[in-house]
Amino acid sequence: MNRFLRGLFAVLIAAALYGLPRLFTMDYYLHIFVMSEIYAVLALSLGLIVGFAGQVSMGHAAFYGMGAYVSAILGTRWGWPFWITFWIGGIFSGVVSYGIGRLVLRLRGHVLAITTAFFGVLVMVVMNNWISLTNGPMGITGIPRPTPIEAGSVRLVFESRIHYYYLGLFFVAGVLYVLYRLTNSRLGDAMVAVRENEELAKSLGVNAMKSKVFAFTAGGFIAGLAGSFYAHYILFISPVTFTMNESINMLVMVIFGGMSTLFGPILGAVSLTILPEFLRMAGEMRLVIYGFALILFIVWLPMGVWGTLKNRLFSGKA
Amino acid sequence: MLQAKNLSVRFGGLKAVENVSLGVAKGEIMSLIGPNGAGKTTFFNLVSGFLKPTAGTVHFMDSDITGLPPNKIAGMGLVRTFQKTNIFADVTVAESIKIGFHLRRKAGFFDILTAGKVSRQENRDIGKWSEDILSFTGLFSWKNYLVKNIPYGKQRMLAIALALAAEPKLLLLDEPATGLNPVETQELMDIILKIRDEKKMTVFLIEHNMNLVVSISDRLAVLCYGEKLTEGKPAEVSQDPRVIEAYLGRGFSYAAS
Repeated sequence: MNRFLRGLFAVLIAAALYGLPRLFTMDYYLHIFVMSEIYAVLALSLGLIVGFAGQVSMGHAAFYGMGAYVSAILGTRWGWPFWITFWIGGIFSGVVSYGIGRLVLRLRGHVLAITTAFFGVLVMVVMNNWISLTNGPMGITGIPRPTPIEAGSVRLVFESRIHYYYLGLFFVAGVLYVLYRLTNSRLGDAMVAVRENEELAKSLGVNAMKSKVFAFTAGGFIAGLAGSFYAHYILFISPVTFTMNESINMLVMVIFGGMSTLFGPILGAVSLTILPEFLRMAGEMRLVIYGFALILFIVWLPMGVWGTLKNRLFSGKA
Repeated sequence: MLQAKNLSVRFGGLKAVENVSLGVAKGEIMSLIGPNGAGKTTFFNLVSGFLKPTAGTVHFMDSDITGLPPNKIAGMGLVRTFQKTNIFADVTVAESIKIGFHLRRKAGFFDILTAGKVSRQENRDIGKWSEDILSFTGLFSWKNYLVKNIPYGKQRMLAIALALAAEPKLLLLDEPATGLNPVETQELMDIILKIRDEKKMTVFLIEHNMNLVVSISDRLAVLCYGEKLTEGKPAEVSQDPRVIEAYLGRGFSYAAS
């Protein structure tokens, strides 16, 4: 693709994303769009850990939840504005995932998956039982919305879903840009090296542990940001949102869309947020159909939807 | 350049490498030979940091590298290949070479995030660097293939190309000719000589193919049951009765002498 076509393509996508909420104006649709954005960020952050660095984490919802709780607690108790607690939530999750990463990333494969899953459970237990801080199973209510941005005569408010939709677009774009830079750098290549063959990576001078911990920390940080965004969008959080089911859900999005690509997790997140809504008309059978569809996809397209398409279209050497 | 002193490693009661002292001089091709199970690969593992010695020291370019982790040792300019075919299987040849440049890429975190000077320059350089190495090793026409799909001989060559991408001062090759046909072996010999003469790297290799060893090595060392039997010029070593005995048994050594 030459420069002009690529530019045109980008403009078309931007226009489509801009126009989408004007076309589907119902609150119900807008909610699905905003949730798709949040899941896109989560799947991207998990994709860095699972897809690029090759370390299976089944406790990603813990970092999502920590970001949400830290941000919500700071916002409700001390009235700190979203624009600050957003970053604090992310940094908190990032610091915790750095510590956990240093501990658990010496493990591999199934053992690592189970250990991270237990960490997820542990965080849930804390959320449920440290009542003086987290209000336990009752959750935290009355989380403030982001304060309006005022710059001269322009005043941006965040009151309805459509505002969150546009804010979310910036969020996804920012995360996508950062991950694009990272995965096209020596840091990203080191992750791929560790995923493909840790022994060989070491012999070429890659510090495997450092590389894995870096992916885990960056993934945790971004998930924390997503948690904060979620908390200040839904305005109510409780432990049931951040269960192991949620972790698995994110993992499925990454695998479904295509690991070790950037577009794959986004595709996975958006389609797996929207697809279950379509299946609502199937009533009780909804989850059964959904489960079967996932199994079939994973059997037939093990590289994920986007991973398979990309190979077919661009390299032809699969 | 590389100096191992009284290097030993024991696995329980098994003395895999026992009191071996060996030196490699700058600019030479040195070979390590010996019967199967003599401890050659174990010796490489000790030198490159994949195993920690129980006794003895390793010095490389005047610094003590005993017990350092492999990535540190690679960073100092000592890079090894593996006896088994060790490759990044699920990426293309070009992508895999890109990974090999890890040590030559220096862009910092913020430089990467902001698409700064260093990282942009780096991403431009990589194209040229990989072209050089791929043509040097004769892999250029395979660059868009997935590594797992290229022929075995090319995969072996790619492992060497990867090590070269790290720009080592001393290259350790562990049985590079294993499984290669005669034509590929000849290509390999030419490339090893070119590595010494054009790239000015020192080469230290383990090999069973005597034809290759004798024709390209400047010096040979022989290991047997974890101990060094002898070292010297290929012609001398191959006449040494102890070496013949180690390979062929006692009866032949009398016949040969």
